[in-house]
Amino acid sequence: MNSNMKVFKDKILYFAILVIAGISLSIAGFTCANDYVKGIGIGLAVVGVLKIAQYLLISRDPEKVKRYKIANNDDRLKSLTQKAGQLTLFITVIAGLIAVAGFGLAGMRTVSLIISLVVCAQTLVYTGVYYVLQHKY
Amino acid sequence: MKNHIAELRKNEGLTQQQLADAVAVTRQTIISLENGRYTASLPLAFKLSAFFCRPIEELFEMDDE
Repeated sequence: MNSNMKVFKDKILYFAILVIAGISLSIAGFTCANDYVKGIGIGLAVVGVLKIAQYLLISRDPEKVKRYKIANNDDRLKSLTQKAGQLTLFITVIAGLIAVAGFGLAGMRTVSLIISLVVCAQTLVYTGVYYVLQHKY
Repeated sequence: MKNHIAELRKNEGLTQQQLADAVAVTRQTIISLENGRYTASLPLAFKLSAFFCRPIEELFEMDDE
């Protein structure tokens, strides 16, 4: 692996795992004649392969590798990523609560219950992560 | 927070891309800094200070609130 490819080592590994997971799912889908699982598996595998190909292409051009490193460590982009995550959590919790109420009023109680469990899990995960970070920093 | 990045950059005869390359950020970050839409982190503030050879207080100033 050349020095340029080492920059993408973790990403390539992550997407290689995705490809393996995708292939496994699609095999399972073929075996059980489940088109849904098969489709998800193929989708994951294709995305994984395309991303790996993208990183291999970028790694051949030192200028593109330099730009990639800068973009990945950019001050402002890291700040934007954090803010986007915070806003996303807020929006999905609010949307989830609206959906819980909506489905509940529409008589679809099972759907309402599942969404409320997801919203609760999100809130618990956020609280747990916040607690850990508060003690770490 | 106000800053004098644009002024200092122009005095040095640098483009935004050249300054971005010098402090290892994207050009968009320099644009946002100069427009006052983004406040630099402490590490970036120190990099800019070292690059321009000026104390941080000469690059950045707090808004009067």
